[in-house]
Amino acid sequence: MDQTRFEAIVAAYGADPKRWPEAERDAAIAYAAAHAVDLSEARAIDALLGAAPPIAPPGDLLVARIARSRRQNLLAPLAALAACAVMGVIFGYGAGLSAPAQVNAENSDIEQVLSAAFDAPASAWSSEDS
Amino acid sequence: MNDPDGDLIAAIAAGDARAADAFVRRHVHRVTALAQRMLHDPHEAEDVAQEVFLKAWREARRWRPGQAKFQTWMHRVTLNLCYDRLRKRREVSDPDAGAETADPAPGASEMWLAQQRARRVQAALATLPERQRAAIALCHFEEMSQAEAASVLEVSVDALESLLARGRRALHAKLADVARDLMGEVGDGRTA
Repeated sequence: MDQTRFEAIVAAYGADPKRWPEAERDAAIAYAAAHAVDLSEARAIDALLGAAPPIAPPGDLLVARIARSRRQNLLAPLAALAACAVMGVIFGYGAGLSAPAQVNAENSDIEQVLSAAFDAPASAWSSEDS
Repeated sequence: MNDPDGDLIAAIAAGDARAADAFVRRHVHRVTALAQRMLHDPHEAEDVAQEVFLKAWREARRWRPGQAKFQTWMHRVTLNLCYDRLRKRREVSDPDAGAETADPAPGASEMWLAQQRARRVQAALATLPERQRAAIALCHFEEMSQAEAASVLEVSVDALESLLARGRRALHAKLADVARDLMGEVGDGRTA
C-alpha cells in the first residue's frame, strides 16, 4: 500500500474502512494508522450520501402484481394458440362456403371459352370422350 | 461459481410458481431500490421491477449455472432498463426543480432540515452522469463488492473506481454547503 493507492481507495469508497476492498482493507487501515492521512473530504461525502432519502421496501401489492404478470405471461402463448384455432375454424368455414361458387365460376369460364372456340357447349366435347 | 439462487432458478425453469414467488420476495427490494436510485420515481421503479422479473422468468429456462450469478444478470438488466427510460426522458431540463433550499429560519425543525437535505442530495445525485450514478448506487447504497459491481456495469474494477471517485467529487462540488452543515453537526455532536 502506498499513498497513491490509499488515496485512490478513499476517493472511490470513502472514509469508512468497511467499504474498502476486502483484499486491501488491512493494508489500507495499517497505512492510515502509520501516516497522517486527511479523510475529512471523504467523510463529508459519506455524510452527504448518508443524507440521501431512504428507500422503503416495496409492498405486497408489487409482489402480487409481478406474480399476476407472470401468470399472464405463461397464459399468453395458450391464448394465442386458442385464438389461432378459432380463426382457423372461422376462415375454414368461410372458405368452405365460398369454394363451390368459385368452382362453378371457373367451370362457366371454361364453358364460355370452349363455346367461343368451337361454337358448341362444353358438354358436347366431354361426351365425345366417353 | 456457487449461485445462491441456483436452486430457485432451476425450480422456476421447471414451472414452480412458489419458487417464483420466493424469488420475487428475495430480490424485489434490491431491484426496485436500484431502479429508484437511478430514476428517482417510485412508480417507474416498480414498472422496471415488473419488467426485470418477466425477463428473469424467460431467462431462467436458458440459464446455465457456473457463469455469472443470476443476481448480477438481474442488476445489469435493471440498469439497462433504467438507461432506456432515462434516454426517453432526456428532455427533463432542470434537475434541481423541486429541490428547495434549506430555510435557515430559526425554529425550523431538524426533521424539516433533514428532509430538505435529502431532497437536495437526491437532486444532486440525479444530475450525475448515469454510469457514475449507477456505480454509487451499486457500491454505496446496495453495498455490492467491487468485483460484483464492476461485473454489473461490465467494466474493470479500475474503471469502477474511476466512476465512483468522479461521482463522489461531483456530488461534493454541488453540495459543499450541505456537507459543511453536516460535518458541523457531527463536530457539534448533534448527530451520531
